[in-house]
Amino acid sequence: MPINTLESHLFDNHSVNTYPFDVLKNATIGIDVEHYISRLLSFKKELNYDAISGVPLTLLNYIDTDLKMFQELNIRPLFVFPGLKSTSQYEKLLNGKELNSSEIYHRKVWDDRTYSRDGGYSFREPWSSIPIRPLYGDLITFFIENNIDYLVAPYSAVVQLHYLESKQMVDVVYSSTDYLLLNPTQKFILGFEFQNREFKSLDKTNILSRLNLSFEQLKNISFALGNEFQPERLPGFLSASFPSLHDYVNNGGSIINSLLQDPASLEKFQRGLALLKYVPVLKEDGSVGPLNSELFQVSHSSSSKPPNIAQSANSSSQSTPSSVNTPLYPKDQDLQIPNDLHDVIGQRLSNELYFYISLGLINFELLESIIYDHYLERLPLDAQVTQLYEKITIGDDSIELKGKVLNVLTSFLNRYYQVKRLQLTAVYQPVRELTLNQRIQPTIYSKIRSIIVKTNQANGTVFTLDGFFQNFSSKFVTDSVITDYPNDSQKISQPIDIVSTGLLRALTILGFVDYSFALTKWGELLVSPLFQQSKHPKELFLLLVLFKLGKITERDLVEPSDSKVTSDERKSITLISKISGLLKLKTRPINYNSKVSRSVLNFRSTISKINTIVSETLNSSLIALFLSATELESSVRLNDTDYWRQIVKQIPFRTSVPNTLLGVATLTFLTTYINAKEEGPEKGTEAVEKANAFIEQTFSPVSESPKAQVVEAFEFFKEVGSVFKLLGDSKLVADKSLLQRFESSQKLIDQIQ
Amino acid sequence: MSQIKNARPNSSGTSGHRRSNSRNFNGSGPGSNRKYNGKEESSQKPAVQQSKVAAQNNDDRLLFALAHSIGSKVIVTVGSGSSYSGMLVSFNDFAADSELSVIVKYPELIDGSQENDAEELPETLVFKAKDIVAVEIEQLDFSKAHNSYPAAIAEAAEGNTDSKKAFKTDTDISGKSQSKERELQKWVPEGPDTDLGNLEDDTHANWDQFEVNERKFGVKSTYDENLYTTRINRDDPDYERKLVEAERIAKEIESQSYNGNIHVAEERGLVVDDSGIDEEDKYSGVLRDDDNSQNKGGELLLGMLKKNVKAQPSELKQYKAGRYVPPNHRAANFHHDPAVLQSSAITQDTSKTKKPKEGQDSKTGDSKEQPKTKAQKEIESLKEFSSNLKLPKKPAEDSVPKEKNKQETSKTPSSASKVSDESSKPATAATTTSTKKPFKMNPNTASFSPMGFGGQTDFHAPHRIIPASGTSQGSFTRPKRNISQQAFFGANRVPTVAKQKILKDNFNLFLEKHRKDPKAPFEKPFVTPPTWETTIEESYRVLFPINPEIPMMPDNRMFFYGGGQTSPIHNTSPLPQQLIPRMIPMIPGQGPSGGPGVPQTGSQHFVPYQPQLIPPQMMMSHNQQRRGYMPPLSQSGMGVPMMAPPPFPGHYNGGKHMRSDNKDLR
Repeated sequence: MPINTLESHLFDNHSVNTYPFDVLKNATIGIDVEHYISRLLSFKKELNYDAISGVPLTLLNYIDTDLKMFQELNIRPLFVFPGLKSTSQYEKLLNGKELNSSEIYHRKVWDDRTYSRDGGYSFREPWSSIPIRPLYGDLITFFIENNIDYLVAPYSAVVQLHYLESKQMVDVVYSSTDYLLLNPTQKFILGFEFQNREFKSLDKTNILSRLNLSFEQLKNISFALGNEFQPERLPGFLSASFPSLHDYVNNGGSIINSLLQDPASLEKFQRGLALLKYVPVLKEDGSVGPLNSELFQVSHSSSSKPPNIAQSANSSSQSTPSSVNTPLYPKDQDLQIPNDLHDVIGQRLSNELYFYISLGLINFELLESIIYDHYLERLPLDAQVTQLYEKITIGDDSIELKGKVLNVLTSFLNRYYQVKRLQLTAVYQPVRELTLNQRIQPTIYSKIRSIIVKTNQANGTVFTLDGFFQNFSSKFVTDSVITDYPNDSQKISQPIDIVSTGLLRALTILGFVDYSFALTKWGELLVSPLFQQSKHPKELFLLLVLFKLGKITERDLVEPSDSKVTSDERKSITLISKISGLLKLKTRPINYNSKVSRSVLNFRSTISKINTIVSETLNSSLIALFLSATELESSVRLNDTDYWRQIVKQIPFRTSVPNTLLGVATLTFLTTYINAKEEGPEKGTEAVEKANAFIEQTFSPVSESPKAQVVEAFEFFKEVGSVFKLLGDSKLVADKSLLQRFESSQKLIDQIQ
Repeated sequence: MSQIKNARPNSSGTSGHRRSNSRNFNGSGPGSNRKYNGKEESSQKPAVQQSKVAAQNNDDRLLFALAHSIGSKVIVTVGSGSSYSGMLVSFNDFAADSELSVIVKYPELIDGSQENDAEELPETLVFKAKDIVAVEIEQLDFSKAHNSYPAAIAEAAEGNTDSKKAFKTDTDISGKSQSKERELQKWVPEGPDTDLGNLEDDTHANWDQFEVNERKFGVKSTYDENLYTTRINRDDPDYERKLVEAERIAKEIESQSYNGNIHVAEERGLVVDDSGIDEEDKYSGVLRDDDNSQNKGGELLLGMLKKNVKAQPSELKQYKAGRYVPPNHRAANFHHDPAVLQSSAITQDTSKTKKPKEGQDSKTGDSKEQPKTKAQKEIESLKEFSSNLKLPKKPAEDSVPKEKNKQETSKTPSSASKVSDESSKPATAATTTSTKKPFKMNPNTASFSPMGFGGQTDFHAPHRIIPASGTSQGSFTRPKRNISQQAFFGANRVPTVAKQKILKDNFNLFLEKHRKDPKAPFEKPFVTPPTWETTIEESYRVLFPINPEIPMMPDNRMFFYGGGQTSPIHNTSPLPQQLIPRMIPMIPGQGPSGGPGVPQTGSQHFVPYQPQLIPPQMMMSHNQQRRGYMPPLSQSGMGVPMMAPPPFPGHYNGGKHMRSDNKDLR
């Protein structure tokens, strides 16, 4: 989060310099991914993005174009993702357990839209940027495939970039105005303008003199208004903006003085200052810790360091010389590290975990829940919590599963994390607070550790989900179980073996395999030929998990619906379009500005949550595998980054589920068809032609062959129907009416084809 | 007066003044002749320059011949052997470019290669010097001075070769009558009745064109003077005072020295002895330096450059508030571009030195053309010399760019305006004044880091628009095309291919451990505690204490809390009373030592409290009015800050906040 309202002020002040792009020739640029993407996709672009979700249609295309530009000038980009949230950032997310502004905005837009169908809405909250956490998997996969360097910072990407720059690993940094807070002596890039072959740059010293502010004053204003390190606007400054405070300070006002009356604000202010100074960074040697003195000497000697800090520190060390246990650097204030940093940064994890974070291998939500004691659930994009959504997020089975996953993750961490009390907080209305229990003994890991999949494939064979499910059988499971501690021949090193092992263990945790390593009834579905021959095993698997966790009923799948008419056919349409939304419409990179559907988005949110659950389960079993290291061959002690990137790339369920466009296209097609049939005396074929023509017309800008892809979606629905029939046969689904709904829906499709 | 008017047609000077130029362009006989004659005179030069002068003469002859043959039929033979015939339209300034190119209209291929189909020839052909083998001019008649270009074009277009029957332009007609130079005679009024008086005379004071127009033609005028000028409010209570003030200013202006500029003097109604002054010199000629005779070659130039460097600051200081400054001088005081300074502000001593030239003969206005005086000849020769001057000494290249040298030495009237055109387009006012002062690049500009300066002095490239000081925070978002990688990255950090690192394997703790000691046991994650390593047993709250601060105004005015009982701070902090004795008055003479880029650590610049300035309430309400933002401080009714006066207006301390040394309030 950049310094609130500063950027436009800088432009107003003409403090932003423009340079030709050629200046950056041969440079290595450290790029703050969050800022970069907020620049690529400002809130004025892809207005419908929050209504269709997924990967923004134009995003990867933009990045690709930029990378070509870099290549042309031999510029080496290093993309730095932000990592874990700091205490204040996480507290802001908890936000008094109220709806945050984007949730309120999304709900309002959807509600408005339901009442008036005028369109012309932007689903994106003004001045907001796209939340990038859901896109980590997609972006990292993209970077690995294109052989582009990336790094996930342990905490703040801005400070990580500062470290990289100070170590001269990057020549220049592309970041937001937050970078001004770090070292006021250098230039950094604020934005690229590829079309003009220019870039915008800020020079910190120049800005200070131009704004007529000292470094301290700039910091004070920015901490009052909110920035990366202090993400809230402090209560005394709710109506203020940077220009107004700038004016205030230039006329002799003091931010500090106005804070003194409010202890809560003061506390936040201090915490921000402490965070700015002590945010840990991933260092060259792989360790993680606060930036040390070498980086701070520059900025602090040049700025006006309040003399009282040094004095008070000195006096405290003088007055209590005996009380200081380890006064390593009692006099050098730059090396003073306070003893309550965990209140500012969050509790510390092991260096190895930070390494996996840097690869993009861990789900942050799990780690943040063990750091901050809360697993946080917030409203989905469609801003409505359906019964189904509740079941999969706060239902008993889900809570139990979450506890197991956390148990696996904490198996090899400090005992503190294994026993601390965690809770799941769902900021729905009303807010739910549920206890998570990760204190399971004996640990889940001790039950699944004997699963080791050794495929004996040739070197370099790549893991695929299709391949895994095709080989999946009860024999496959029993073959993968070892009886004792693994001997050397049973140990694994190949990415495909590692990912397969992790996945099989995850399947066990998810309940497809029981702890005696036999297939459960759900697991047997996985070995049915229907499943194994499917073109879309991933989507079918997600549906299976959904049905399993959600104890699904007809009502769960046909509500909510976009149509108020609840005829039989309308219900079928809703069901078909939701299931179709699981598949990806092959799209062109354009700003999509056409039809959207709240019901399809709602189902997508549900499936996305399922995807997260599966991914969390898989990742924690993998992390435990790495941390344990007893099942891994010692010869590959994993010091090759490419090797790690191969593993990361091959891990399934990391990328986000597709946007809703194919679901919307199917919904549009079927609605047109039904309307044509109901309204006129048209025969079936004429209605189909009308529907075909309509979706060609509506979706041809965004996709090449929408009609053919809708047909493909129908085929997928048939598969799902068959699988669902199997579920009914195995008595895994109780709701008879849902079975009938699938049958009648299938009939509707047959009618059309 | 009348005498001068009469003299004008014959007085076109030898310099390249615009008026006489335009006359020459029309191919008028006298103009060309005079030029030719002028060169003839210049051939009586010392032997050293004979050959050069001879070459110059040849050029002039060719020029003469070509000028006379414009419009004639020419045959141009080119290198390929082809010959083209056509009408000679123009030729380039071969004296300057040293190569002759010829432009021919309606060309025809007479003889030559087949590749050029005659039909494909354009209307106008340009023959470059390198292609021309020979140029033949048919029927060249030097006496046919009337054969001017427009007339010839008209003839050629009509296919009418007999120019006598063709349409005749003014020059045709006047040129014919002046083919032979006649004796000029002073105009003598024929009688007392014909005395029309001067134009300025008020003899027609009652003439009202609107009235006459309406009476004669019934046209009613809609003219309103106030559309074109500011209406003077004569009812204004201050009108009398303003009138007096205006008259005072006018008097001041008029009483200023005319610096030897007779034209200015005449405008101010001063009686000046202008006898013997050329009309051109008086009204339009370029002001020239008198002390040419003392200067020689490179020393002259270097001396002038030096003189300028010294002269510049003192001249800038002439600007004083309230005193009238001519427009061209104003520009200099609002700009920080040396080019503008040089081209606009420095004219003053030029005009001072410009005096009626004593040696100059006044006979130019007479009917007889007198031989030039010795002094004039000397000036002529110096002009000649300076135009051919090549510098014996090379000045340092970085301080004097080559082309500036050229402009400097040639002393063409346009040189100054050219420089200022290039360097500062907005300063158009400045370019209108011609000057002989050379443009001197400021050597310091070379080391300018474009980002190194804040505020007003932030110029670094000649093409930049320099904002006036009033808007010193002007636009800086224009692309900086000339910036180098060094300027952006710093000299030591320019990225190169060799320096590019592969970062992939950094940050891998397995690798790092492997490097150090492959066999060492790896730190197990369960060993890592949930707390961070610390070096001191203190809370961050202690390390980042928040104390009330004494903010400093940018202009060194200072706030602190004074005596307010409402502030909760005063219960816990002994702040104001303890602080005051600590303050040390600023030492006079430190003055504005720091620019905006050099913030000072304000601790020595505390000023004792002096309560007599602007009431703080005014300050605050001013603040609120402007931004509509109520500072939290005043919202809560905290102690209202009071203000100390600025000890030195304009002094800048970097806007530092002063903090008390008192212990943490918490």
